Amino acid sequence: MSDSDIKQKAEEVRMIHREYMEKMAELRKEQSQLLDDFMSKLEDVKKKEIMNKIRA
Amino acid sequence: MSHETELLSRKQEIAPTEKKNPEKKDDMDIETTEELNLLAVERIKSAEQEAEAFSGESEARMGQVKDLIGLPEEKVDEIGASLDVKNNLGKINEKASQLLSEMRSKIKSVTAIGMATLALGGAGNFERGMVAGLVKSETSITDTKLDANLKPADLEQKEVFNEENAELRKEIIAKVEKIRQNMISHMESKDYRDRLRVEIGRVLNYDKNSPDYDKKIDKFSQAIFSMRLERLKKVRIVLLPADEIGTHENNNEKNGNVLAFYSGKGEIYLPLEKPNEDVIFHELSHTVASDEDDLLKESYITQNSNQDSYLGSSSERRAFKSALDQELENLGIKKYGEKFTQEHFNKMIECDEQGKFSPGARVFIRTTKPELFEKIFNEVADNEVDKKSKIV
Repeated sequence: MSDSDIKQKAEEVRMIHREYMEKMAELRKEQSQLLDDFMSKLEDVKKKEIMNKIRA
Repeated sequence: MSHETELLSRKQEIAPTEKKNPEKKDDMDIETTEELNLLAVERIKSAEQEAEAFSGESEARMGQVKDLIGLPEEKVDEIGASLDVKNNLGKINEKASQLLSEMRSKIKSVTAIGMATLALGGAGNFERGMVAGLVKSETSITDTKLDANLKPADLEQKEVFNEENAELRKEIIAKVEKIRQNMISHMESKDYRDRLRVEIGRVLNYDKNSPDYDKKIDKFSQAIFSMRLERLKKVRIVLLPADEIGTHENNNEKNGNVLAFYSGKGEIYLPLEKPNEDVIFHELSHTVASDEDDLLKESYITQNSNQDSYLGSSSERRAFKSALDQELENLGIKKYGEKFTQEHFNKMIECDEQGKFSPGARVFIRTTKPELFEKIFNEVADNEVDKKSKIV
C-alpha cells in the first residue's frame, strides 16, 4: 500500500470517527430534549400540587 | 490422566494485544500500515467510551429527574408512561448501539484492506498477527461486554451456583484474583516494560539505526502494554462443572479432556472444583500473550503428534514459558530481569532432571530447541509472578 493510500485510509478512519461523534451529539440532544420535557411535565404537576395545597 | 496430560489437553485460544490512548494519533502523520491499524483501534476505543458515557448519562439523568422533583415514584412513573419516556429512551439507546456497531464495521472494513495489502507485501507473520490482533482483540472485548470486576459468571449456568458450592466458588475466585493482581504488578514493573520494548523491536524488525526507531518502539510497546493490561483486568471467569468444560460451545476444540480454556472472547472457563493455581495462571497468561510470535513458534521441537498444533502455538508456548520463567526465579536459578546465560541453562536442565519443575514448565523445556533458549528468555516479555504469593 502506498503512502498516499495509507494517508487516505487514515483520513477515512478519522472521518468515520468524526461522523460517529457528530451523530452521537445529535442523539445526546434528542435524549436531553426528551428528559427536559419529562422534567418540565413533572414540574408542572408538582406546581399544581403545591398550588392545590395552598388553596386548600 | 496425569497432571501433565491434563495440562497438554487444555484448550488454547488466540489471545490479545492491546489498547491505547485514543487521542494521540491525530497529532501524528500516519505513515505505515501498523500506524493505520493502531489509529483504527484508537478510534474504536474512543467511540466505545463515548457510548458508555452516553448510556451512563441517560441513567444518571433519569435518576436525577426522579429524585429532584419530589413526587411519589408511582406518580413519576405515570407521567413517564404518558410521555412514553421509557420507550423513547430505549429507542435512543438502540440508535446509539447501532451507531457504534456501524462505526466498528466501517473502520474494520478500512483496516481489513490495509491488512490484506500488508500480507501481500511480505511483512513478518507476527507483525501481521499483531496488527490483526489489535483490531480483533479490541472488537472481541467490546462485543462480549466484559465486567471490569472479576466475579463468577452467572449468565449461562445458574444452576451450578447454589449454597453448597458457594464457598468453593469464593475460593476459586479469590485465587484467580490473587494471581491476576500479581500478574498486573509484574507487568507494571520496569523489568517487564524493558523486556517488552526488546520484544517489540525484535518482532517488528525495525531498523535500529532509523532516526524514529525509539519513537516507533515506544509507541508500539505502549499500545501493546495497554491492551494486554486491559485484557487481563477485564477477563471474566466462568465456572462450570468439570465435565462440561470440554464440550462447552465456546470451546472450539470440543475435547472432553480439556480441563480449562480461554475463549478468546474475554472469558476463562474454569472447573468448579478445588482450584489449581497452575491452571489458573496458565489461562490468565493467555489474556496477555500475543497471538503470533515467530521466535516462539520456530523454537518449538515438533513432537510428530496430534498435539503439535496445540503445543507449538505461540499462545500456549508463551503461557508455558511464563510458568518456567517464574519457577526459575523461585528455584533461585535466575531472576526475571537477569540475562539468561549458558550457566542458567545448565542449572535449569539439572533441576529438570531432578523433577523440580511443574508440568507446564517441563513441557516448555522439553519442546524448545536448546540453542534458542537464550534468545527467548532475553527477548520475550513474560507474565511471571512470584509463585509464593501466587499460591493463596
